[in-house]
Amino acid sequence: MSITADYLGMPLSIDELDGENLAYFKHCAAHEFHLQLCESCNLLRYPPTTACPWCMRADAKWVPVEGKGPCTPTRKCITPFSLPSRARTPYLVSAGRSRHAEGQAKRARGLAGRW
Amino acid sequence: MRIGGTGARSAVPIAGDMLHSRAYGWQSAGQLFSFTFLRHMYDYGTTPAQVAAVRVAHSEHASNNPKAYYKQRLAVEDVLASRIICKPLHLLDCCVETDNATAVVVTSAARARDGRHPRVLIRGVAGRVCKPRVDMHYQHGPISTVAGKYAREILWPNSGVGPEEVDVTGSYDAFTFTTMLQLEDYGFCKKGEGGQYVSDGTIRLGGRRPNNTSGGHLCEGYTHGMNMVIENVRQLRHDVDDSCPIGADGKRQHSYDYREGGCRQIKQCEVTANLGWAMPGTGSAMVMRRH
Repeated sequence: MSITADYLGMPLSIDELDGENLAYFKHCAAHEFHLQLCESCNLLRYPPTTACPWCMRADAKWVPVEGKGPCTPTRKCITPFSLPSRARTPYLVSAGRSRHAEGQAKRARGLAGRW
Repeated sequence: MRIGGTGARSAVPIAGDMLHSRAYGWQSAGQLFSFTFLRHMYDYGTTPAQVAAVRVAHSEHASNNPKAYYKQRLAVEDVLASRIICKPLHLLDCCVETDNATAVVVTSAARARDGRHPRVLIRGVAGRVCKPRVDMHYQHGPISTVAGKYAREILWPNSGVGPEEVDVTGSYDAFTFTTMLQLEDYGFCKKGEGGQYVSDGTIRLGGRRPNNTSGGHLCEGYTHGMNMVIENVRQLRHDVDDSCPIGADGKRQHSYDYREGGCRQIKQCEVTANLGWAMPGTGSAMVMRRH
């Protein structure tokens, strides 16, 4: 079943065929942060995808991940690009690094060599 | 397609991958790319003034292009004084969306021999090259690295030339930063030295390797990179459509005087490179030469 919601004035929709996002946000609704772990290459991935972006295999399981980590880098958005964001500018957006992902980029580079 | 969403588009539900970007305030190209720019500043000490020099150079080139949208020459101070859109991007670091049309005719070298223009040959291409992770590219390696790092491994061997042999570059300049990052990752300078490369006069008309001599996206108009291909073809034909007078033989008499309103033809232009961009993690490139 499709899910629709309003988030900060923005309409959100998850289609019933979008199984990965349904599963991801089901965990979020339970205040749990879970990511997919590829059962072939053992690498985490975000955002949720049908196939592993690192090795292209489909098998994955959801594993709990700590929702903390250093920010790198942070930027400030001054000009709104949509009506909902107009009321909230300026706002900050940060990219965070999960400690569970330490060394993952290096391992992923090793996989890329196979392509 | 308009990138902003202040009208009816803002009411379109956010779905799929956009649940993990647009919903968190990643809405415009500048917002999406600025992580890459900021990280370059952090890692290499690149300054807004250095990349503002890209806008300055392209504005000078556009001032010699009667068809350019923004013909006024700018100074670094003008760019830095313009309002911030999304740090570190000032208004004048960003190109403008324009409605326009471009067309390119590609045929065999043999058939082109019958054309009335001097032939321009495609030496090599690298099409839609991606970093290993294209959607959130920074999950795979340095954030400040763009697809050019991978595309150059295809482009230069395919073309049989290297960056040193290129006379003119056409580097996608949706933002001043995109030009700098591409020139750097395609090997026109060392990694981390892009700020110096774009601000030391190299990319200006009269410099060692001018970039976007028509004014590019920042000043001529936004055409998803096609105006830079067309401009490089003109350069290779030695027939740039500037304000120089047309002689009795029907050919433009280029003065190579690059002052405002003057010439923008490069002397003895033999090899050009176009560096295309879709996002930091994806790009295409082409090398052309004069026959």
